Amino acid sequence: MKGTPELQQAVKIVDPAPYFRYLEERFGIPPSTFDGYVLVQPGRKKVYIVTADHRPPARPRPRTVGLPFLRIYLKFPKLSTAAAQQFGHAATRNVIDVDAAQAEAFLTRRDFRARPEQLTLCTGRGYVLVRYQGHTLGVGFLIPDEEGGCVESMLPKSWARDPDSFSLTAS
Amino acid sequence: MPSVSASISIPSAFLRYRAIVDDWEAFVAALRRPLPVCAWTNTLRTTPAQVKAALEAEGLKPEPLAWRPDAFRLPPDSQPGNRLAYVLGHYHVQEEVSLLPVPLLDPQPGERVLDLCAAPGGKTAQIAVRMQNRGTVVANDRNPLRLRQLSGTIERLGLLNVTTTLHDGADYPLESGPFDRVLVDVPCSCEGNFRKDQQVADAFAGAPELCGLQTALLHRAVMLCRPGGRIVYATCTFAPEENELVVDAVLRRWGEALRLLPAHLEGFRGAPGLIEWNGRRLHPSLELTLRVWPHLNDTGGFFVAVLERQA
Ligand SMILES: C[S@@+](CC[C@H](N)C(=O)[O-])C[C@H]1O[C@@H](n2cnc3c(N)ncnc32)[C@H](O)[C@@H]1O
Repeated sequence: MKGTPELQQAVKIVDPAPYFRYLEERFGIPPSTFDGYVLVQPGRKKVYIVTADHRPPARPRPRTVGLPFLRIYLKFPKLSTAAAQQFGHAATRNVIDVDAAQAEAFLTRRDFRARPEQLTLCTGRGYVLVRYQGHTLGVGFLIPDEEGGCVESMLPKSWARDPDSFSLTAS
Repeated sequence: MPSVSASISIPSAFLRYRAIVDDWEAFVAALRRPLPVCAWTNTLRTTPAQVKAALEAEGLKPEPLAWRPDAFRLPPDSQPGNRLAYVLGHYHVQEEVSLLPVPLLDPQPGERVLDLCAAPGGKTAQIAVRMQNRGTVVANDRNPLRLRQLSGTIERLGLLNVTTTLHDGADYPLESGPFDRVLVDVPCSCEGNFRKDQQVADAFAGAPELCGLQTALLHRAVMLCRPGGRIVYATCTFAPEENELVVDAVLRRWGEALRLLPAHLEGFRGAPGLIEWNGRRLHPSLELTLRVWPHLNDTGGFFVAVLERQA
């Protein structure tokens, strides 16, 4: 899990154990999901995940190395949208299966209501994976209440669809 | 049939190509037609059959390309970017000619590959996918805003084998090498994009400063490539000054140490590169390069040269 000598020269290698433990606790994602990859930290705020045989240059200094994985220095690390789409299939907890209207809201960065029966895999307030037709769309933030819960779309602006032209419900 | 708009006038800058186009009428007619859209399958995530089905379910009419069944041609006014399967990274939208360089580069899993002018990353993504998401793709660009778009491409398609760098490609540090393969998709006058953007003809094709940069980028790419490795040079312009003449200059500089390989893709029609321009004789092996005129395959214009650095 250390990466190639070139990778070690080029970028800071991160101990993955605490992050993998967090992802297993919150989402039930087994650490073996990430076999064959290394976590690195090319900048300050984000941990990236990259294939273990990767050999980047040390100069010029890499801007990004692999795929954004987690944003750190938050109360809870936030899984990136890219990582959620890539590895979300392995999650067993804090996953919400949404309908077309909810998926459309999520992808246009609007909050949506979740019904109680949609929260059976959820353990409480915090990050959840939003899944539609078996595909993980990204990360939401669940605030449970008496009638289910409210899910905030954590989709970054750069991923968001334009509500005027994007639709999953129009026939 | 797409409508032919006779009102689009062919720029006078293109008249100098009359002598080197095989069928001028067909060339002019193709330039007046809107350009078809093209989408290729991210086989790391899904299959061509599923992409085809997803596009059809959206009411689009995908036609597999004759020479690449994992990529689909769509009518000119399609908007395949605004769909769920696109957000999920199941396919990427790119013009058909932009699919030519990467199969010719032929990157292999586990190799070290450099994409010297990479943003917004369409070809980087093709390289990473062909390498099965393993090994090393270094994607460089000089423009920070465009480099961010490149990161967006990496994230949406789920690429785990790409490092990005921000640097002048003509001065790219040699200690970063050697690379097994280098793609040099240079900035150019973009005449071949005329069907998408009629302003391109205002650009001064073959401007000496631009050709100097292109030559410097290709020369640097050869220096960064290991002996025995492969370099692919590409532009989307018709201008011989930015195409054959650049390759000719670099071939002369490297002599025996560099040679051209045939740039040929089964099922795609191209014209051979020029071995003479404006009375000037060029290296005879330049006929191995690939010139794409829009009427040959109903695409944009393009040029590709495949080079091998001798061991
Ligand atoms: C034709 S575009 C590349 C398209 C890209 N390969 C793709 O498939 O998406 C040319 C790129 O070269 C970049 N560029 C211009 N001058 C450069 C230089 N000196 N070094 C590196 N990149 C440069 C531009 O910012 C631009 O993004």
